[in-house]
Parts: sequence; C-alpha cells; structure tokens
Amino acid sequence: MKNLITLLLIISFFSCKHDFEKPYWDVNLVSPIAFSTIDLNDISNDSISIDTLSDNSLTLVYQNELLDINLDSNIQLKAISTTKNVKLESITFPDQTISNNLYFGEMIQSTGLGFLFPDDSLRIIPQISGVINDIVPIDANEYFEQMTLSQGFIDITINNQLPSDMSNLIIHLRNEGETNNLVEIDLPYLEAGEMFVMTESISNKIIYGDLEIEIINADLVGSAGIPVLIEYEAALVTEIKIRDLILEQGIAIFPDQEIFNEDTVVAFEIDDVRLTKVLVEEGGVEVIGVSTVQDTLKIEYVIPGAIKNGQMFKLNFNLPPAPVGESVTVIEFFDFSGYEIDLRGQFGDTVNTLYTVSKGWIDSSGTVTEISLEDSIFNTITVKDIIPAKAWGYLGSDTITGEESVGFDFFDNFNGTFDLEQLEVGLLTKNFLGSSGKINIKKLEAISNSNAILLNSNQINTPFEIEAATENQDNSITYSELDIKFDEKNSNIDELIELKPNAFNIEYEVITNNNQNQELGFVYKGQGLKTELQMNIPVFISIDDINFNDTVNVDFTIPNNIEEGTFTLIAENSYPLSAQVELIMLDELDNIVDVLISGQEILAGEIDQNGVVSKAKQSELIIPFSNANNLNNTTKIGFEVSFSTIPENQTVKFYSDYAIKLKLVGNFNYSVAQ
Amino acid sequence: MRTFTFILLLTSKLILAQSFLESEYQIGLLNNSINAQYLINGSNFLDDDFKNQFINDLEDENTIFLFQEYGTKYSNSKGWSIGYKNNIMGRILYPKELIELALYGNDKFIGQKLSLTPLSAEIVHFTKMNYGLKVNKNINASLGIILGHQLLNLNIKKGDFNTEEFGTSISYDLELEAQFSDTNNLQIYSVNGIGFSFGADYKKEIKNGTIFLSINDLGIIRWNENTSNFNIESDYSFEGIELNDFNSFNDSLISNELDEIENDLQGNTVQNYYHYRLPFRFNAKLSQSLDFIFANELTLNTNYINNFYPTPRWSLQFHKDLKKHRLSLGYHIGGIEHPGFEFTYGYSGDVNQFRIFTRQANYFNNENVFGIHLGISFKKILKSKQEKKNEK
Repeated sequence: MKNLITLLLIISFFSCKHDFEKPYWDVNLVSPIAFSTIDLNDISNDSISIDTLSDNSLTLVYQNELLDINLDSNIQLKAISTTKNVKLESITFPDQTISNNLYFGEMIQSTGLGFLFPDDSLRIIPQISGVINDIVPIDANEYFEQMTLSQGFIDITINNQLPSDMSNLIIHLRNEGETNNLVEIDLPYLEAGEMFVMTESISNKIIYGDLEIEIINADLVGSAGIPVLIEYEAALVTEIKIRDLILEQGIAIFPDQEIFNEDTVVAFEIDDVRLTKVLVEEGGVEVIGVSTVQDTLKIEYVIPGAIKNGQMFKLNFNLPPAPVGESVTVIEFFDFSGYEIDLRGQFGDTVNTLYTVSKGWIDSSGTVTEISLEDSIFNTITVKDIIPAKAWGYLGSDTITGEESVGFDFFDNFNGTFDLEQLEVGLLTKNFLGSSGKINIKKLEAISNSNAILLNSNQINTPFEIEAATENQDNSITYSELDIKFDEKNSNIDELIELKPNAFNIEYEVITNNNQNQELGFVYKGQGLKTELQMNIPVFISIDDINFNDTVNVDFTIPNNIEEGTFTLIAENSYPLSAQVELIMLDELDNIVDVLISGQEILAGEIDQNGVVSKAKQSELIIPFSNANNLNNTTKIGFEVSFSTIPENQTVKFYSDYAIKLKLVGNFNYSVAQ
Repeated sequence: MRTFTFILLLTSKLILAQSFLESEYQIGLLNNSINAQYLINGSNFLDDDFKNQFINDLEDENTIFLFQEYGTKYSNSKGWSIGYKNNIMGRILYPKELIELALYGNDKFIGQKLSLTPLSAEIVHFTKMNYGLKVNKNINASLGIILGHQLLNLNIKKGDFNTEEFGTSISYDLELEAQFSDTNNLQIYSVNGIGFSFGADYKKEIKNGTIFLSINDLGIIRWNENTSNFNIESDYSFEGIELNDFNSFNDSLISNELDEIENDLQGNTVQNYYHYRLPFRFNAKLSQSLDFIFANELTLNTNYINNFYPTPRWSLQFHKDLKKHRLSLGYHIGGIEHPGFEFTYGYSGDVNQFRIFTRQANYFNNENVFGIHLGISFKKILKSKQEKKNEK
C-alpha cells in the first residue's frame, strides 16, 4: 500500500508538469490620438490676421514691414567733459592767545632774600634792581607747528599784579633759538595793578609753535616803607594774542576750509537739435579728482535739473589725503539711467545745456596738517555718452533717403494659380515722432525670382504729409497715420501680388520737421516712422489646384509591441474646398522613408444654391504602416496639400463658421506580453 | 500556530483519555471554465482559433476560487474539543466580455457598449480559535474567536466600456467599491480584526448509514479602524488629445491626459471599522452501506460556502474498504468548480489515521482538469493507560 501511495504522488506531481511557456497574443486596439479644429484663423500670426465682415465673410489681412526709420542717432548726447584746476585762495586760521605768569614768590626767592619775605606776611618791600633776568619758553604747539604769514598781528599785554611797582622792563619775544625778535618791549615804569598793551605786526614772518620770551631787565620799585601783604601767587602776567592771520602755508590743526564752490555749465553739441529735456536710458557722469592736499577733501556734485524718483542728482565722494609732495587720484562713475534731465540751464532760458554745482572742502580733522596756498585740486567731470530713452524739444530737420529690398514670405509655400477679386493694398506709415514730416515713396517693385513688376500709380513719387504724433499723459504715444492705398483702379497692384512676390524693392524719402517749427517735439528711442505693406484680400476666391507644402518635425516612439496598424484621419470639412493630401515620412537627411498618404482626398462641404456650405462632409483618410521601424526613423513629415474650390471656376466666399474638424485615430495590432 | 499545536499535544498527553488529535491541511486553486488543456495549449502564440474556442468555452460569469486551510483540533472523549484553524479564501468573479476584450482588443467592439460586470474579488485570511462541546448524543456546538489577518473585498458594480464608431472616442463608466484591511501592517499573521463565530453539527445513525449535517463560521469580523473603505464613481471619455497646433504635440500632453485619468480614478477613501460577515459553510452528508464488490459504502454529500459558491456543491462517492485502507471515488457537480471526479485514500490504524484526498481527480483528461486541489489529514487516537492495558 505504501508503494501505491508513493506511485500516486509521483504520478500526480509529474502529470502537472508541462513545458509551459509564456503566452502572447495580438490584440487590435483602436484609440483616438488627437483632435483639432482648424480654420482660417489658425494661419493668423504677427503678419496675418483674419477679419470678419458684416456678412460673416472673411478678409485676410497680411502685413509686412517695409521700413523702420528712427532718429535715435540724432538725439544721442555725445561725451563732453570739463576740467577745473582749483588752488586754495586762502587758508583761514583762528586767533590764538597764549599766557605766561612770573610769580612774586619765584622772583623774591631768586634774589636770595626770600626768608625775609615769607608768604602771607606784612613786610616793607625794598627797591630791588634786576629782579628778573630770564628766558621763558612759550609752547604754542597745541595750535600750530609752523605758519608762514602774509598777514598777522601780535598783541602783547603785561598786567602787573605784583605788590610793587615795576620799572625798566625790557622784554623780547622771538621764535625759540632765533636772534630776530618778533616783538621788543622797553617799558620805563608800570605801576602795581596797571596793564601795558602793545601791538606788533608779524606780516611776512614765520612763526613756530616753540616761542620764547626773554626778560632782559625788570626792577622792583618797592613799597616805599609801607608794609604790604606778601603774596607769592601774585604775578606779572604776560598775554600774547596772535590775530588776523592770513597764511601762505602752515602746519597746524586747521578749521573747516572751503576749497571751491562754483557752478559749471556743460553744453551738448547736437547739430540743429534743440533739446529741453531727456530721459536717460544709458550713460552717466565720470568724475576724476586729483588732489595734493594732505587732508581728506570732500566733493559734492549736484545737477539740480536731473531728477529721478523726485530726487535731484547729487553725488558725494572723498579725495583721501595726498602723500607729502605727491598727489592722489580718484575716479568715480555715477549712473544717470532713469534720470530725467532738464537741459534748459540754470535759468531755464537755453537748450542742450546741463547745469551743475560743485563744491569741495576740507573738514577739520583735529590733527596737525600741512596746508599751502600752492596745493591744488584737479576736478574733471565727463558726461559720458548719454543715450536718451526719450527726448523733448526741437528734433531738427532731416532728410532721410534710402532704398531697401524687403523679403516677403506670404507666398513661400504656394504653387498654382489663383484669381483675386477686390484686392486692396495699403502702404501704411505710422509716425511715432513728435514732429510732422513728409514721405515720398519713390519706387515700389515686386520681385519673384527673376521676374519683377514695377508699381505704376500716380501716388508713386508724390510726397505725402504726415502729422506729428501726440504724447499722452501716461507716457504713451498716439501715432499719426498715413495710408496710401493701391487697388486695381489706381494701380497695377494686382499684377504685383499675382506675381507671388518673394521680395519688394522700395525707394523712399522722408523729411522730418519739414516746417521746422516743432519746438515742443519729442522722440522715443526706437520709435520713429514705420511703413508696412498691408494687403487686404477678401476670401472670395477661386482656387484651382493651389499647392501648399511644408514639413513638420516629428518624434515618433512606437513601442516594440506595435508591429503594424493604421492611422485614420477623420476630417469633417465645412469649407467649399477640397484637398488632395500627400504625406511622406522623411528621415534626418530628407530621404523618403515611406509614403503615408497619396491621392486621398478631403471632400469639400456641400454647397447650396447661394454658394454657401450647407453641410459639412466627413472623409476618412487611411494612413497605413506596416513597419514600426519606419516610423521610429522618421524625423519629419512632409505634406503637400492641393486645394481646389468648388464649384470649379467659380469664386466662393469663405465664412467665419467654416472649419475643418480633424481627428486622428490609431488602429494598432498590439502584441501582448511578448 | 506551531506553538499552539505543541500546547495541544502536551495537553493531550496529560489528559490521557480516549481522545484524539486531528490535523488537516488543504490547498486548492479551482475554477469553473478554464481547463488544463487551455493552459497547455496556451503557451507561445495564441492564435484566433485558440481565442475563439477559449471564449466559446467561457461561461458568462466565471469564477476562480483559491483557498488554503490548515488546523489542529483536540477532541476529548468527554465531548469537548479545542482547536484552531487558519483559512485563506479567495474568489474572483469575472465576465466573459473582459477576457474577450483582453484577447481581441477593442477593435472588435467598435460601436458597442461592453459591460464588464460582474467583476469582483474577495480574499480573506483569518484564524479561528475554536471550542466545541457535545450538547447531546447527536449534536455538537462550537464557539470560536476569530483573528482577522487580511481582507480584500472588491466589487465593480458598474463597468461599461464603449468604443465609438471609427474609434473616435473611448469611454468608460465605472462604479467600484472596495474594502481592504490595514496596509501598514502586512505581516501574514498580523491581527487587523477581531470577531467570533458559531457552529453546530448534527449526526444521526440511520439504518445502514448515517446522516450528518453541519453549519460553521456563522459570525463576523470587525476589522480595525485602519480598514480602508474605498469607492470610485467615474465617467470618463477620451476623445484624443486636443491640439491647437500640431507642432506643439509633445509628451506633456499625454502625461496631462494620464494625470486627468489618474485624478478621475482617485476615488474616495475613508478609514474606519468594517464589519465583515464570515462566509458560513453548510455541509450535509448521507452515508449508506452497500454490498457490492467494488464498493461497500455510498456517500451523498452537499456543501455550500456563502458568497463563494454560486450554487451548492453536490458529490456522490463510492467507498471501498480494504482492511485498514479505504479508497473513495466520487463525482461532483455545482459549487464554484467545474464538475469532475474526486478521490480519497484513507488509512485507519488503531492509533494513527491518515487521509489524502483531492477534489480534482480528472488527470486522465486535461480537458476535465479545472484546477488543482490536495488535502492531507492525520488523526491520532489518544488512549488511556487502562484502555491500552485492556487491549493487551
């Protein structure tokens, strides 16, 4: 029985075991991929627009810029600079007073009789000759070390506060160590309690901070037998006042010194342009300062007429102390961008003029500094090339002529013939300048490869006047327009257009400010005169086999599981226009990989007796593919669509409710789980 | 679980009465429509003949039933029992149209609305700790504590799929409801719900036979507050990607569309307790002695698992006893599986008993094999010392 069980288990186990491989199978999948509705509005871009008329029919408007003239170069303010060489006109220095006391105690002790005249005692003072004979140093270094004076005075005051009269006073004041005296005093008698004052000029002299007073003789007259109170602190007080100084040079602690303070006017040369105001887009002021002053020089530069955000232009910078015997240079640039600058000068009575105020000074530094009238400051101010964003004033009168060839791409992708009705082409000129002018289109020629047709019209080579633009309060411009119209009645313009030109040659002459009286003109940068060709084509056409071809870049990534299938393009067309479609797959080198569609047609909508489409028609275009690799190798799809209107040889109108609804559906054979 | 089995074994040794210890293991994967021949033929490429035949043989509603059960029970001679049983049960119900769509793609169904219902799946894993008691001579009753481990209950109430004429649009209308237990706790024996169950059986000797009736797993599981209740009501139509400019076609347009579908299918999820009614089991068996050479007993058996079996399963078995061995061969109909033979071999020793059985004994013909199933059970009679002495 055990064997039976074992056998059963083995049979059961192996009976379940098969070489089982992963199954796979194909399924047919259908899925919408993309859909879109296209109508004539889809061709709208910067150049092309579609207008709907009152009867809902459409007009195609194509614009192509022919001319763009601006006066930016006329109003550029070229660089201009001005240099100031400023020397110190004067060096101011305040009056200084220095005191010296000769005490009675020191005098009596120096005679050797001090023990007879103790302090605070009542004694009879005898006559003593030559009681003082001494040289007393006077230290004024805390005020100056040296001064070369072109003008100055010393006032010496001697105040006798001793308990005795003095006689035969001989005193000299001089620079320490020198023999030449600045002041010499010979005073025969000075009563106790009396004061002696003497003034001496020190013009054209040099004085030093180290001075000395030599007292050659001073006699004590005595108290005439009357006891007097002996006070050692009683003194003969000498006061030296140096005043009304005008320096040529000095080493001192100077007070604030203004170096320069002056107005500068910079006038720009811009031909016959007379600007009153500019708004700066680019540019600025460069200041180069060179100083020999051995102290920090402060410079303030103000342009009262330059305003930005309500603040006038003001710049401050420092020139650091120059080394002894050398100079220091600082270059600073200040950006003018965004400043509105009044160019009417200080009093508002001129043009093209920048009024500036500059000031330089030395702050009292509290340290000993050498200043000389020989010191100088070079101050160069350069207004760099100013490019105005806007300018106001008289813009000058200018005659601009030119000849240009302008590309015209409207017909680039069209082949075939068409017949246009009610064509109208305008040369629309927009004047963005705040000055009137004259425009003369001297020649207009359509070029198509080697063919050329000249526009014949009595409006050619005729000057037309264009008014000035107006400036609005919100800083926008309302341009003025000049529209020169050409149609089949006044010209051969239809011949030019039906040539399907790829370029136009234009010759022109523009005269700005032809009346030369527009003082309140303006110009905004980049905005001058623009002329564009404006082609109005009512979509009321008969098309016979017009080909439109182009390529679009594609990037297909077909999953490996998809081997073959079809795309179905379902088109529901309400245009009175049939389309033969050809789609070709191209590789990177534009080699044909495969032809997707050839000879299939999108049927035109059904038309009623009034020529209006009454019912859209549905067409299914089958796009087969049997090799996914071909799709994967495709980088471009080239398509050529050949349009024809129905009924044949009859013009039809296109209306705003016409459209082609497209839907792309994929039908794939998909291998599952392979 | 092994620890619990060990405790039961120890307990049985201590009691030393005429009792028994019984363990059983079953595993099965069954279905009602796909036979083994399709699986064998269904390797490599599936051509149209295969697909047509395959679809032709499918039922309108098709089921797959998978289960695994194992457990151990100690029964005492005094009439009470204790044991545990671990159940994994899963049922998947799918319509014929779903397979048709998968095998053929939607090209075949252009202009048709496909209803992809009924489509549902229910998978539950729980362990029952059971205590049984003999009520009287014929009736046993049991009460169990249920530890809920995992639950997935998915029901697509509405699933319409439509491909418009020329394939200009694809749309679906979906209504889906699902409950699933705490996904943060994916340990196989993690406890994510608690419940109880009740069961009873009735056995009566009749002339030359027995009648046996039982009902089990009458109860509920309360899945914890982290149970997700999820539903989607979505109506989506894909018309293709709208292009305003053919040059602007790029991958982002596709990913945007896919994002839209994904957002549409986000649905609402609420986490809360969920009360799940256990699939109760009903079983009835009638045994009758026979006096044939090939069989000495006949059994008519019917059983039903609520929610899992669409109809009761019926089987008729013939048994042949050869000393201590028994061979049983039967045929079943109904239930969740395809009709077929079933087979059991049993060995009944004085102390040890063994049984191996299968509900799919159709291996002689692959076209009749609709799944695999194997069950093994052991039973050990536990005799007291006195009984052993008496036997000697």
